[in-house]
Amino acid sequence: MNTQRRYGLLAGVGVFLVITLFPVYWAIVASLTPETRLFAAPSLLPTEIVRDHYYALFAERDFWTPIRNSLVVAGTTTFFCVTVGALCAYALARLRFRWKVPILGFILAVTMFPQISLVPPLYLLLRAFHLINTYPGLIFPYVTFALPLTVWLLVGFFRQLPHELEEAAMVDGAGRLRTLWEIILPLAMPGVATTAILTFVYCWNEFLFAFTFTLGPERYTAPVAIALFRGQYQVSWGQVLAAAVVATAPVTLLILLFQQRIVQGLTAGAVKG
Amino acid sequence: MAAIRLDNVTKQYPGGHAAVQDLSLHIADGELLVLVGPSGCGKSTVLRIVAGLETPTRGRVFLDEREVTTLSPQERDVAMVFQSYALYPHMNVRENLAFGLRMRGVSKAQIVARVEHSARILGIDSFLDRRPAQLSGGQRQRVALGRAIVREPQAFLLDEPLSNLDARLRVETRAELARLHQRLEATMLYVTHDQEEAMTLGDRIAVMREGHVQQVAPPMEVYRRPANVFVAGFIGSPTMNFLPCTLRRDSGKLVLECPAFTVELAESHTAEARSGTVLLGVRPHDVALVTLPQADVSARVEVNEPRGSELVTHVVVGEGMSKSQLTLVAPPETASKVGEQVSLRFRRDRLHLFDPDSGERIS
Repeated sequence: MNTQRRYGLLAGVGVFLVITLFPVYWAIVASLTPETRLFAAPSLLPTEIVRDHYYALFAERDFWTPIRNSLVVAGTTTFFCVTVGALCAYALARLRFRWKVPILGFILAVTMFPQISLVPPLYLLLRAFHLINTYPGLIFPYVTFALPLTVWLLVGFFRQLPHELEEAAMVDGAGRLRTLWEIILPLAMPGVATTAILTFVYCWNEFLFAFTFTLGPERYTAPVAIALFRGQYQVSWGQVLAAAVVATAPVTLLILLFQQRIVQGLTAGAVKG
Repeated sequence: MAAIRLDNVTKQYPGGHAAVQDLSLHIADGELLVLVGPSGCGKSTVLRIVAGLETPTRGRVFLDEREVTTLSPQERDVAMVFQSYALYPHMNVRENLAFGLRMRGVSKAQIVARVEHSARILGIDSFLDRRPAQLSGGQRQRVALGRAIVREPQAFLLDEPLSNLDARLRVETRAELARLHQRLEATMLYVTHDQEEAMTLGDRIAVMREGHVQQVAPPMEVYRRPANVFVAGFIGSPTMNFLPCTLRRDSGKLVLECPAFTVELAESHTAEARSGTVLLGVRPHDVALVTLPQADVSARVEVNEPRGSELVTHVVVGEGMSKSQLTLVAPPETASKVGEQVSLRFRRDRLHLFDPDSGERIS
C-alpha cells in the first residue's frame, strides 16, 4: 500500500475512533468534574478531578442495588438461554425430524414482534401471576426475546462442525448428550461465548420491559435507575454520567476478556477439524 | 474378534435413491475384506450400516451372530477409521486414544496401559502430548488407527483411510496395515476406490457397483476370473482390452473371430462356450510382442508409456471398419517406436469371454 493511501486510511480510522470513543471519554471526564464546572466552564481536559459523583451514587442513591438487579436478571437470563438454547440448537442442527424448518421459521418469527406490542399482554400476564416487580417478572420476558436469538446463533455454529467428529464419538461409545458435552461444546466454545456475551449485553441494556415491569428502586435495573435520576427541578448530570460509567464497566470488562473468542466466533467458526 | 454378516440389506433414501440393494455379505472372523468400487457405488454406505451410523431400510446385520441391525453405534463394539481421521482437535493424542475407553468405563490404569501399548505398536508414543493440528498427515492417520486399536473391538471398519496420504506414504502405510492385520488377527472391513489397494490388502475383495455386489472372491480369483465385464475392467491396471468377436465351431474346435484377426481357443474354453457373439477380454499383460511366425495379428504402435518397471504400449490393429485399439505391457527394455509395425500374440489361457448383452462371464 503506498504512503498516501496508508496515511489516508490511518486518518479515517483516527476520525472513526474519535467519534466512537469521545462520548466514553467525555462521560469519564465529566463524571470526575465538579457539578458547577460542567456547564459553567466545561473543558476537554480535566482541570479538577473529584470523586463526589461516585460517592453520591453509592452512598446517597444506593446504586449497588440496580447494578445487582441488572447482574441477577441479565446473568440468569443468559445462563438459562445458553443452556436451553444450546440443547435446542444442537437438536435443530443435527437431528433429522419432519418439523425442523417450520420450527426454525417460528423461532425467527417470534423475534419479529415489536417489543412495545408485547408490553400490555405481558404486563397483564405477569400481574396475574403476581410477578410484577420481581426477578422472575423480568427474567421470563427477557427469555422470550433472548432465547430465539441464542438458538439462531448457536444453530449456525453447530452446523459448521464436521459430522464425522460426532460419528467418531458415537462409534467410540459416547451417547448424544455426552458427545455434546465432550466434543461439540468445547469446539463450539467461541460461538457459545459470543452468544452468551451478546445475550448478556442485550439484557443488560434493555430498558422498556425493565421500566414497565418494575415498580420501585429495590428492583430497578441500571438503565431504569439512571433514567430516573431526574429530580423535580434539576438533573444531576455528573451523577448520571458516573452511573453510566459504572453501568458500562462490567460489560466492557466481559468483552475485553473474551474479545479473542468473540472475533473467532464471528469470523472463522468453531473448528479446524 | 467377530464375524460380520449382512443379510439382504437394502438402504433406500427418501428421494428414492437406493445406495445399497439386496446385499448379502459374510466376513469371517479375522478376515480382511475389501469393499472396492467407483464413487457412489454404496461401499461407504455398507460400512456405515455395519457401524450403526445408518439403519438399513430392509435386511439384517449380524456381529458375531448377534443381530445388531437397529442397535446404536455405542452398543456395537466396532471401531472405525474415518477418511478424514475425525480426530478430536481439542484433545491431545493421548486423550484421543483414551476417549473410547473412557466412554466404555475402562479403569484409569487400564487406559494408561492400553494407550501406551497401542502407541508403541504404531510408533506414535513420542508425540502423545501433541494435538492433531501439530501432526503431519501420516501421523494423524496412525493416531486414527491407534484410536481404533486401543479399543480392542470385535471388528475394525476402515473408510478409505489412505486416500488423504501422498502416493509414497500410501504405499508404506498399506504395508503397515497388512502387518497390523496379521499381528492383531483382526476382522476388518476396508473400503476403498483404489483397486491396487484392494488387490494388495484383501484376503477377499468384494467389487461393488450401483449398490450391488458384483463378485466376492480372493484377489487373484477376481483378477484371473472376473465375473463380468465391469469387474474385469475395474480390477487390473492398465484396464483390460475388450473386443467384440464372434465364436464359432470349426472342425470340432472353437474359433474366435475378431475384427482383424482370428484365434483358436484353448481346450479349457470349449466346455463352457457356445457359438454366437461374445465380448473378448484380454489383459494388457497377456498380450505379448512376438516375432512374425508366432503372431496372431500385426499392429501399429501409436503411443509408448515407459513406466520404468514396464513399458505400456498402445497399438492399433486392423483397418477401416475392423480397426481396434489395444493396450499391452512389455518388458521395460523393449525397443518400440511410434508408427512401427509389431506382431502380437495373445496368451490362450488368459482369454476371457463375456456375454455382450448381460456382461456376464461365459468362460
